[in-house]
Amino acid sequence: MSSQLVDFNGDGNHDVLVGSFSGSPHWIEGSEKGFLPSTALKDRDEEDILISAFWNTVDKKWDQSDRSGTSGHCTSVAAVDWEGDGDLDLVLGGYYEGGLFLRINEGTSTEPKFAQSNTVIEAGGEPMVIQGGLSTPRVVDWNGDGKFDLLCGGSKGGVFFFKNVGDKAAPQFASAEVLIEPIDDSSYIKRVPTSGGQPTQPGSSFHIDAVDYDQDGDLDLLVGGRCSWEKEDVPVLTAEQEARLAELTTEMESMTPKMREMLEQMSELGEEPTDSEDYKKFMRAYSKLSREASKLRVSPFESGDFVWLYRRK
Amino acid sequence: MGDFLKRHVVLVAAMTGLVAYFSSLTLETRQQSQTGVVGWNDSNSQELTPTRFLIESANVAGTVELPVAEGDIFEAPVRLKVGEQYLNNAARQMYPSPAMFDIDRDGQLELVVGDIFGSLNVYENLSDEKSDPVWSSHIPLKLSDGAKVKVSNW
Repeated sequence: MSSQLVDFNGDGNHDVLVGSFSGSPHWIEGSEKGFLPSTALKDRDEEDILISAFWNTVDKKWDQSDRSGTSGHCTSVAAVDWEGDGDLDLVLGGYYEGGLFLRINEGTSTEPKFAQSNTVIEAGGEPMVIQGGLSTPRVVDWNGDGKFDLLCGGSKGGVFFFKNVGDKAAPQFASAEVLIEPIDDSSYIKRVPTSGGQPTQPGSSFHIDAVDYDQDGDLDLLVGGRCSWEKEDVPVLTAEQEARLAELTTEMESMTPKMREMLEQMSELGEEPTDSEDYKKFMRAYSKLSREASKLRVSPFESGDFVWLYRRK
Repeated sequence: MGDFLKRHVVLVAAMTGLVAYFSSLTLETRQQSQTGVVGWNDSNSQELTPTRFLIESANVAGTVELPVAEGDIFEAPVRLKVGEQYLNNAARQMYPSPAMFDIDRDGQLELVVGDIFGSLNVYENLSDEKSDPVWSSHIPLKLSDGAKVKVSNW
């Protein structure tokens, strides 16, 4: 999840702010000796900051809280002095619904005290939302007018520019302008065009940063993304290999009912699968078949995670 | 046709009294049939300025074919590399999230890449030139005790 260098407590040491799939933004505090273990950012009541969904570390399950007054799963975060009062506030990016929210710092630059609830950020008079989810905000003065703007990537790919049309103490945002158009493909991991058997675009799940990459005086975009693409020269199975694959598939399918039965029995007895030697032995046999089948199942597609540069002309 | 925000745009007046706005954004030619301006300055007044219109979807009759280009502002995207390998081929971080900042305070920006599992890798810029960085192999971000940084996850 995207990181950002900040000084949250004004001690002169750089801290790293980072989103987390757990639902709470984290910070890695910098000290004289180096970085300290990451911890969830807290509000003024020492509660973890979140949108609503979070990983409950006590019960070890996904959970919900309505204490922030908003709905969503925070996986991204960016810090900015939103109201120009000298301290860092937080922009929270939601996963499933793609909403963007503001968490105001009611403390100071050296003693942050974040509010207990979030405010919906608006663009063009409507809630700011990245359609398809996974809003990954970055704060940057994209158009060089001296005010910060918001850039945002999304699950379906694409990069969106929300121009700040407000003033320093009260930012307001225009509707999104598309900087990079999402690919028109409904797959979760988007299939992208190829050139020479290689992907030509980042695909989906965009995490972004705006930076003068080549130091030529304008802002370029870095995009982390996940894509799939069609391979060249996909090998064709021999008749013998196809027969073996069919055999393996049948055998694995025949094992599935037994696997379910064992899991149900353990569940009823309150046992963990990792505690059962019988189950582990069963799964080792299943995995062996699965590995062999995987080698034979030649997909015409490949997928990968890359970091891309969109260099500004 | 104009150049608003450094992009080619077409404004088309319609019989409905609305003005349609078409913007060139991608490399491919594509049909834009449902994008329209429904007003600006919240008043539908005639004071049209490049930065003050409101755009929203509308069913505008007719279509316009545009040679739209992502390259209006960006060159075609390229994958970053470490040597001859694509960056992240070695680290294999899932859903990489890149950011550039001076994490070690050496006066030069590093590339810091996070992922869905809470790891953070640092790539040092090996070049002193005022041009594209030359990236080192990835180095896991470490805590003061030497352990790898791991952001709490699920």
